[in-house]
Amino acid sequence: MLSLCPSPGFGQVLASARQTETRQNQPVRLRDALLKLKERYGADILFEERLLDDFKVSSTAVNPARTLEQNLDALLASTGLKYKKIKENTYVLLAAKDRRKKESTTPRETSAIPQDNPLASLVPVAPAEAKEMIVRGTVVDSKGEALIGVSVLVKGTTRGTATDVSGKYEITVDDASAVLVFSFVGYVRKEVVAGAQSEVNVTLAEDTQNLSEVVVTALGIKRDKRALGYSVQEIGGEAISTAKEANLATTLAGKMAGVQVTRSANGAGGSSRVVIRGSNSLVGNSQPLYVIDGIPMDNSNPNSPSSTGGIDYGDGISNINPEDVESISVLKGPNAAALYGQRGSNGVVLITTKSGKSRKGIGIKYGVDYSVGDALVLPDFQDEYGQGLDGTFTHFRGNDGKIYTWAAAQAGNIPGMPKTSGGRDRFTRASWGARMDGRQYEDQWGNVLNFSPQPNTFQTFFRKEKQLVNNLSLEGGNDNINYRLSYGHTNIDGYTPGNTLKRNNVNLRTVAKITPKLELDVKANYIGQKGANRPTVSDASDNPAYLFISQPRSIPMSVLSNSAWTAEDVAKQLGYGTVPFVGMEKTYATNSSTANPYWTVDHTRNSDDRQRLLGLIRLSYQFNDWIRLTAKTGTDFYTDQRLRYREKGTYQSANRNGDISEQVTRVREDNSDILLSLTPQITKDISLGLNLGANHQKFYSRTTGNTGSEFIVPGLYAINNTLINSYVFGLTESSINSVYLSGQVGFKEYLFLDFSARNDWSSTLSPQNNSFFYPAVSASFVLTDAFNIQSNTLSFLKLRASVAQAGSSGSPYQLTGTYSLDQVAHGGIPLASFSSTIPDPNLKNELTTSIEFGVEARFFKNRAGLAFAFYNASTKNQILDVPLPPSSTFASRRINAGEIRNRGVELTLNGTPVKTADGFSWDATFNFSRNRNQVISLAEGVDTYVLGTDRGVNVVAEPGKPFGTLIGNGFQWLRDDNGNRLIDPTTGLPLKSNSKILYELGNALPNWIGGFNNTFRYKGISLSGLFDISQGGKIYSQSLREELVYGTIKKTLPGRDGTYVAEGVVASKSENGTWVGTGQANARQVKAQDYWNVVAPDKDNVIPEEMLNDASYIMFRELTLNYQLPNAVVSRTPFKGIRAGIYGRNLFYLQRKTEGFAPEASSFNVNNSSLGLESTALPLLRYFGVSLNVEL
Amino acid sequence: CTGDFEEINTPPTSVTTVDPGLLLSKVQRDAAFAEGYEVPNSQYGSWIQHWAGGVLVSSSRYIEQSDNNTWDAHYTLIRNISQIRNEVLKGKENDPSGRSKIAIARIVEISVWQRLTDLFGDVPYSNTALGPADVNTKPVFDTQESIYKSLIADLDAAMTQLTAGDASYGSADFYYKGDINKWKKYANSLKLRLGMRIRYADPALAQKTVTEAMGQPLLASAADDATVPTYNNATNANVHPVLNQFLAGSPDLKYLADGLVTQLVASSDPRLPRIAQPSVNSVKAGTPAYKGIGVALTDDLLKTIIKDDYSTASTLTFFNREYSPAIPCMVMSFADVSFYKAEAALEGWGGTAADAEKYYQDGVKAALAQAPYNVVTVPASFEKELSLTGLSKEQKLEKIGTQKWIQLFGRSYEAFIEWRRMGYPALKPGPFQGSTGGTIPRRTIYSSREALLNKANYEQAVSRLSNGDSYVSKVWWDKR
Repeated sequence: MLSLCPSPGFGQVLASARQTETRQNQPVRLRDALLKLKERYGADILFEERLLDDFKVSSTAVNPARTLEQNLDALLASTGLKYKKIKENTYVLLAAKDRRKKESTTPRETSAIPQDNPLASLVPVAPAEAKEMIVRGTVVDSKGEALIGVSVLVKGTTRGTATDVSGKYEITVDDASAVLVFSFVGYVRKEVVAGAQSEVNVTLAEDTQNLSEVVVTALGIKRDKRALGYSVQEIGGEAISTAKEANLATTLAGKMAGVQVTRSANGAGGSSRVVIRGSNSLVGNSQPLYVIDGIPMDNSNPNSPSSTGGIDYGDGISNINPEDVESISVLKGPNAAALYGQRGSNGVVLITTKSGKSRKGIGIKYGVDYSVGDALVLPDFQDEYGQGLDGTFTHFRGNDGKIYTWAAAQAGNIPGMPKTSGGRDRFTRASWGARMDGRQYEDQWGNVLNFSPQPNTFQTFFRKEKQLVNNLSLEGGNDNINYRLSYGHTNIDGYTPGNTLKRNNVNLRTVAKITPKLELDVKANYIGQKGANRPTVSDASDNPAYLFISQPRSIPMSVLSNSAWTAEDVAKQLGYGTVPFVGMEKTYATNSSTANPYWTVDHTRNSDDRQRLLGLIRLSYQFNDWIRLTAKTGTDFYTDQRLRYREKGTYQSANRNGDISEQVTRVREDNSDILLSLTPQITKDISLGLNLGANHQKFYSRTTGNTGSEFIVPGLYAINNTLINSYVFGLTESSINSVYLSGQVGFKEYLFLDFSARNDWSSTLSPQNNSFFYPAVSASFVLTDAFNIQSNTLSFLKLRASVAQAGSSGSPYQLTGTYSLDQVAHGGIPLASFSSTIPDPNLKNELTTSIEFGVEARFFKNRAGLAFAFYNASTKNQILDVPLPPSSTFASRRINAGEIRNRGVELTLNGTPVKTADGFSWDATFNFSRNRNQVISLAEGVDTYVLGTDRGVNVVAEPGKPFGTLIGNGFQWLRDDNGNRLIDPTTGLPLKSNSKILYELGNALPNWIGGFNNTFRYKGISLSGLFDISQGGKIYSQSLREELVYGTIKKTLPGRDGTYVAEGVVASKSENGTWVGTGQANARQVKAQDYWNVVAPDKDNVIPEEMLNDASYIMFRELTLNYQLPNAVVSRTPFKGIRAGIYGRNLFYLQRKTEGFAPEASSFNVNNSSLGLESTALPLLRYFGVSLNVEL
Repeated sequence: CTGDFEEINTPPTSVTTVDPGLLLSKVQRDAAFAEGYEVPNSQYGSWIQHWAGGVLVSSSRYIEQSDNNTWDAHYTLIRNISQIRNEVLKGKENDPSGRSKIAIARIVEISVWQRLTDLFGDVPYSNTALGPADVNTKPVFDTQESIYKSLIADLDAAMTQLTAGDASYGSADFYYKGDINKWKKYANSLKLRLGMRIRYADPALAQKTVTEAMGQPLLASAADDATVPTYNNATNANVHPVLNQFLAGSPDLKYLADGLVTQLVASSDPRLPRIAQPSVNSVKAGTPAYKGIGVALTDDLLKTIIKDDYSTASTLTFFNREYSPAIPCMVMSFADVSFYKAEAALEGWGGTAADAEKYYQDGVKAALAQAPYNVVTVPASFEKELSLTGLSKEQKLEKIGTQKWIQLFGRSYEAFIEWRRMGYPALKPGPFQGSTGGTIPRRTIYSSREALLNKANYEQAVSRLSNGDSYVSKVWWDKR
C-alpha cells in the first residue's frame, strides 16, 4: 500500500485506515503487529515474511503514544530481528546475523553489493525447490534518477525488500513465473514478471493522481480523497513554484475546475480575483477565505482602485512567497468549507506551508529565478494619419507670427506652416488629420517638427519588467524536532518606469515533540514588502497607459519627455488658454483628465511599506491512541504605510500646486482555536472520527493619516508644507465566536459519511440575530470496493453527495444610521450629514444552501481518470444595500433580500496517453467548468441592482438574468425588422436614437472556463504546458471608445479618403415621421471620420454596443521545461541535486477576440464593480524566465 | 463571551444624534454652492448664454442627458434638512427650544423644493422626506401645481412658527446668524418668489400670494441678503464655486457666452471688466477687447474657434484666488426682491405701476453694488438702463428680465428658471440642432437612476409632459 506522510498536525489520526486489530490483550502475530504499526504511523515496513512466521507478541506491545521506532524496538526486542531505516518512513526488517547464518544453507554471491549496504544482510535464503533464483536490478524514476527505498515484493507473498541508496535491490524468487511488485510513494505501482532474467531494471512513473489521493480538508485535516463527499482539489508545491507567478493566487488559473482567476494588470505586486463556483453575493467580491496553516489571512486590499483611478497596493495573498508553499487545497463552496462557518461561504483556499523533515544534517536548498516580461497585447495603432481633423490640420502659423484657423489660412493663401493645437476635444487632439508625410509643422507648443509616424509609443516609454527571486532554505531535524527556515527575496523592476517591488519573506517553522505525547508547532512568517511608484490604473490621467491610447499619432515621445512647460512653450502654445506656467506639467491636451506620463513617473511619487507577520503556535496532546487535544492561536498582523505626493505643477493636483497624502493602516486578525479529536475504534468494519472545537476570531483595522494639498514651497514633500491639510481616519473592529463539530463514519473503506455543524456568534449583528447555525452532511460511496469490482477497464468508481449551509454576517456598523462630519469645515463651522443608507437594526445573516453530487472514476489501471460534479448553491437573505430612487432622499436601504443561484458542472479528465518502458511519459489533464448564475430575486420592488457603472455602461443584477448583465447606457442604432441598421439617405450615416437609452448588451460572465495541461517526462527532463480557456462573456472596452473617438487605431483607417460605406439599409421617413428601412443596402460613401463620429462622438455619447468585445480566449498560459541533472553528474559537484529550468508565461493566444487588450487581465479591481469592464489596463505581460535550484 | 459585541460594533467615526445646526450649515452651504459650479454653469449657464459650454458638455449643445447630479443633490439636501424635523427636533414643534429652529429648517427646505420642481417639473414631493423610519421607496410624482400650493401653505405655516426669543442656530446659520427677524423677511421674500413664479400659470393664487408678501417685511437692503461666505486659500470646497471652476475645472470651460458679453458691451455695463476678461489675443495685439463664444455651435463652427480670441470670466474677480474679501455666495438678495417687486407693482399686486420704476432701480443699483462689482455710483453711460420711462409693459418686463439675467450671473439654476418664466431677455438659440431641433431647452431631464428605480411613477409623470421626458417639454408654470 501507499503510505501516508506523517504530518505534524492532528490530521493523520483520522486517516480512514481499516482497523484490523481487536483490543483484547491477547498475543498476536508479530506480522500483524507490524501491519498495525504501518497503519498507525503511515510508514512502510518491509520484511520477508518467513523471517517472522513464528513470532507472537502481546497485543498491547504497540503503544501509540510512542514513536514508531520506539515501538519497533519494543516489538523486536525478543525476536533477534533488527530493523534499519532506509528512508524517511521506510524501514526494513533484518534477520540478526546469527539467525541468518543458522538458517542460511547456501550463501549467495554478494560481491555486487557493498558490505555496508543494509541489504547485504537481507540476502534471502534459497528455498528447497531448485528453481529458486535471485533477481536484482535498479529502480529509477522517469528522469533516470535512482529511487531509494522502493518496496519490492514478490506477489502473493509477503517477501520483500527495498532499494538501496543507489536504487538497487536484490530479491529471491521462487521461480521464473514470480511477479515482482514495485511500489513507492508518489509513483505508479508496477508489476513485472521475473522471467528467466536475473536482472530486472524498472522505471517507475510518477503517479500524477497521487497528489489528489490525500488532500487537506477543512481544519487542516488530511483525508483520503476517496472518503470525501464533497469537492476538494489540491495542487502541490511543484506546480506552484516552477512557473513563478508574483501573486500566489494567480497560480491557480486554469488548473482547477470551477475556479475562475482574474488578474488585474495593475503593476508589480497587484491583486488577483479568485471566484469559486460563481459569485454568491451581490456586494463585496465573492472571494474565498484564505487559510494558511490553519490561520485565516486577511486578503483585503484597502482602497483598491475604482473605475476612475487609484492604485492597486496588492492584496494579502500576493504577500506570500510561493516557494514556501507545500500545497494549496481548494475547498469548493460551503459543502467543503462549512466548518469555516460564515467565512466559508465563498469557499476556502487552504495553504499548507513547508515544514522540516527529520534527516541527517542540514538540508540546504537554494533557488534563483529570473524572468523578463513585456507587453503581450497592445492596441492596434494606426501609423498613417496624424493630429488634426477632416484629413488635414486645424490651425496654421503664418509667417507673420499669427495663428490662423486652417480654413482661414487656406482661404487667405497665407504663407506659413501647419500648426496643431492643444485642447480637450476631438476637434484638436484627434488623429483624424493629414497623412503623416513628413512635412514640416509647428506643434501645439511651438516646436517645428516633421509630421511623421511615431509607432512605438508604448515601447519607448515602458520598460521590460524584470523579476529576480532568490530563495534559500535550511531544514533538518530528528524524530523529536524538526525545523525549516527559509528566506525569499523578490525584486521586481516593473513595466512602468520607476515602479519597483521588493519583498523579503522569512519563514521559520518548528515542530517539536516536547514529550512523546505533547507536540508543539510554531511558525513565524515575516513579510516585508516595499513598493515604489505603482502605476495608477483605469480611467485616470496618471495611468500612463491611458494616455497613449488617445495620444495623437504624430506626437513624438521626445517632445513629451521634456515634461515641464518652458517659457518658450508658453509663448508659442495654442489651445491651453492662460493655464500653463513655466514648470507646470506639459500635456498634449488640456483635458482635466490628461497627464504627461513622463511627468507622472518623474514628478509624482508613491511608496508603500508593508510589514507583516503571520504567526502560529499550536500545542497538541495525544492522550492515548484515540484522543487528541489541540490548542492553537495565530495572528496575521500588518502595518501598511503609504505615501504619495505629486509635485507642484502637476496638472491634476489641486490648483496645480501639488498634493501629498500619507497614511498608516494597522490590521490585525487573531484566531484562537481549541479542538478535541476523537478516533475511537468501534469494530473491524467501522471507522469513526469526531472533532469538537471552538474558535474566537477578532479583527481590527485602523487607518490614520493626513492629506495636504497645494505645496507652499517647491521641493519639500511634507504635510506641513501644504496650504490645506486634512486628516484620514478609519477604524473597523469585529469579532466572531464559534463552536463546531465534525465527524466521519467509515464503513469497510467504501462507504463514508461526514457531518459537521458550526454555530457562529458575530459582533456585526444585533444580539437577537447574531447567532447562526451551519450544518453540513456528505457521503461517499466507492462502488468498486463495495462490489469488489476487479476490472482492467474500471479501476475505481465513487459516487458522492453532500448538502451544506453557510452564510455571512456582513460588515460592522451597519445596524444604525449615523451622522458624519464633513472632513473640512466651512470657515470653522462644522458641517454634518445623515447617512444615505437606511440601516436595519434587525439584519440577519446571509445564508447559502448548497447541494452537490459527484462521480469519480479511474480507468485502465488508473491510467485515466474522470471527476464530475454538479452543484446547486443558492444564497438567500443577502445583506444588501438595496438602491432606492433618489427621490426617497436615500441612496439605499440595507435589508436582507434577494436570492442568487449558482448551478454548475465541473469535469476533470486526466490520463497518461503514452508511457514507454524507457521512461517517457505523457500526462494530460483537462478541466472544464460551467457555472450558471442566476439572480432569482432581489428585494421586493427592486428590479435591478447596479454592480458597477462606468461611462456608457452599467453592470447589473436583475431577477431572471445572470449576475453581471451589461446594460448599455447610450445611444442605440435604429434598425429595421431584420436587424439591419438604418442609414440616413442624405448623409449616408447610420441613424441612432434621439437620446440615450438603456439596453441590454450581454453578460460579463463566461459560458465555461477550462484548462488543459500536458506534461511530458523523459529521464530527468520534464516539459509542461498549460492552456487556459475561457469561452463566452462580454467585456465593455473604455479604451476602444477612446481609440475610436480619437482615431488612433487601424480600425479607423478604412475610408478616410471618403470611401467608407456604413453597413446597413437605406432608410426613409414614414408618414408618421419615423424612419423605416427600404431594404436597399447602403452604398453611399462617407468619410471614415464622419462615420466614427456617429459611433463615438465623445466619451459620453457613444453607441455602447460598438464597444463590446467577446471575452473568449484560449491562452497558452504556461510552458515549463525542467531538467534534473542525473546523479552521475551531480555526484561530481558539491551538490546533492541540481535542477535547471526555463519557462514562459502568458505566451500567446490561440484565440482572442478583444480589440487591443487582454481579455483576462483588464479588470481594475477585484470587486464585482469591475466585472465586464475594461478601462485601459496596463498591458498583460508575457514573461520568459530561467530558474536554477540546487540542494546542498 | 459575546458581552462586548455591542461595544465592538459601535461605529467609531460617526454619531447617532447630532446638533441640528450642523445639518443646517451643511444644507445652506451646499444648496448655495450647487448652482455655481462648472457643471451647472456649462449646462444651464450655457443655455441662458452666460457661459460658452462647448463640445465637452454635450448638454450645452442641446444633446439630451439625464441630470442625475442635480436630482441627487437636491434630494440629498432634502434628506439632511428634513432630518431636523423628522428626527433631531421631533416633538419640539411647539417648544421654544425647537419651534423656530424647525421653522427655519422648513423654510430652507421649501427653497430647495422650489428649485427642484422649477428645474424638472413634477417631482416626488408629498410621499417623501419622511425620515428613515417611514421611507417610501416608490414615491409618486406630484404635479408641480400641487407642489406649489403646498409649498405656499407650508411656508405660511413655518412663518407663523418663527418666534422672536426662541432658541435659534447662532453662528451655524450662515445666512442670518440665527436672527429670527431676518428669517421672517427671508421667508416672506421666498413667498414673493413662489407667488411670482406661478403668475402665468395660476394668476389668482399668484396675486394672492404676492400681494400678501408685499404687505409684509421683505429683504430691505443688501444687509438683508442671504449669503454663504466663501474662503480663499482654503480647500476647493470652501472657495466660491465659480472660483472653484477656475481652479479645478477644465481650461476649455472657462469661457463666456457671446450673449452675455455682447449685452454687457452694448450697454456699457460697468460690471463688464469684473465679469469678463479681455481676450488673450486682443491683449497681445494691444487692443484689449471682450468677445464671447457662440453657444451650441456646430462641429464646423467649433473647428474655427481659436480660444485665445475669446473672453474667460474675469481674472480680476471671480477667477482670482487673491480677490479680497472673498465673494460671498448669493442665495437671495435685495436685488432679487426688488425685481420681483417691480414686476408685482406693474400688475398692481401690493404696489402701483408708479412704484415699478423705483423698485426696478433699487434692483439694478443693488445688483451693481453687489460683490464683486461694488459699483455704488451708476456711471452716466449706464443710466439709461435704469429708466423704465416711456416703455410698454412688455418692454418694462424685458428690461427687468434683462437686468435680472445679468444680476443672476453665477447662479445658473436661478438664472435659467427666471429666464424661462419671464421669457426675457430674448435669446437666439445656437445653430446646433442637438436633441431639441435647435431650440433652447425648457427643462432638464429626470435622473436615469430614478427612472430605473421608480419606473411606474416616473412613467406616469412623463406621460403628463407635453413632449415626454425631454428638454423641450415645459413645466407647469412655464407659459412664456
